[in-house]
Amino acid sequence: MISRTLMALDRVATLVLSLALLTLGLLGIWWWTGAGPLPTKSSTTPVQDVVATGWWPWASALLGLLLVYLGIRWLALHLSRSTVTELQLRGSGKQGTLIVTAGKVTDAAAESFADTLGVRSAKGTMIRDRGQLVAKITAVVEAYADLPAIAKQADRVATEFAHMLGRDDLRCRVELRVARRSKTPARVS
Amino acid sequence: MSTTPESNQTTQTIQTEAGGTDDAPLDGAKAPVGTGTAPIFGQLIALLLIGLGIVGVQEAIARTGLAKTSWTSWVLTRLDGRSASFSILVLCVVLTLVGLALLVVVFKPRPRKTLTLSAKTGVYLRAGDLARIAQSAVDGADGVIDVGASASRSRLKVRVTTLEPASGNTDIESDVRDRMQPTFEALTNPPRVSVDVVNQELT
Repeated sequence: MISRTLMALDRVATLVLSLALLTLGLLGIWWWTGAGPLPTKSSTTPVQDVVATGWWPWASALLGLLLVYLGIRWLALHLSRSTVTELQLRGSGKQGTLIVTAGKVTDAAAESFADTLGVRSAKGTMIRDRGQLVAKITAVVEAYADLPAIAKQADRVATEFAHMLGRDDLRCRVELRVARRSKTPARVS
Repeated sequence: MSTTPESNQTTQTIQTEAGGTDDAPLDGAKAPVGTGTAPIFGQLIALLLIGLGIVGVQEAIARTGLAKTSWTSWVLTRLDGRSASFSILVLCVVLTLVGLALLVVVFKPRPRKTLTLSAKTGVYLRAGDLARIAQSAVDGADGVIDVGASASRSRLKVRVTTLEPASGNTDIESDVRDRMQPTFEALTNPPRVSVDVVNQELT
């Protein structure tokens, strides 16, 4: 999950690249038609003159290092995770801080949800997603699962979250995936 | 759970208050969305920046005499004195088309592929998974020998094959819809459903 800021940055950069390619391409086509005031042969002399100046190597090296740094930072942002590891509970203040390990809470909730009939497995994570603090449970359910019953169980787990953490800004999301191969339920003899 | 030592008593009281009265589930989070292809191009542009940066540093190294030729000068020499040939036209058309394709990437909204279940909190099911659930619900219906289903957020297509004569198609379709009904009742916005009955003859 990547942040909205990074997504916006990716889109703006792609837009800039797109406009640059369009401009270059259309200019080239116009040049090929010979209709405009452009010369018939290309000339890189003005650029070569700049490259030949004394300050160019320094400027080039500095700009180069800056671009490498920005590129690496940008790539690193894509690798960073939006998982929340610790949460402050309601009541934290000057007198003391109540901190809970988010993973333990979401694991317990996922385990509880996985006990539902028709749910094969479940795992939980606490993430920040589009400005919201989200307790997320991803569950694999059987194809024969009773969806209304599973929705009810999700509400129960979300109530447990509210009890355990008491944070008004917390939201819950249960994402269901249906198992590709169904597992035969255990027989009662 | 950890507390600062000097405030154990106070925090225990607060914890009781926090855990005691709320019996409403948490509000649902925003529906899940995919990331689309923009991040892939973002990473490619980041790699392009790194590449350009290396070219810039190589230029400085070449001027100090540590490298034989400067990449920048090599490219500038190759580009000098060129006329507008057919290969340049092809290259420019390709650049324009790539630019247009990237515009689509920029303005395409993030993909949404889930349906919302009727619940107080947020419960989501992928459209493709709804097809599997529908298939499972219809599987084993009277007269049906094969079931196929495909779904998007707005439409579910079910195709059943039967050995029964075409005169019984209405009954089969009605049975198929009845079997899927509980699944649709669990959704806030169920997709439109179409059922195709294919009559196969024994040979």
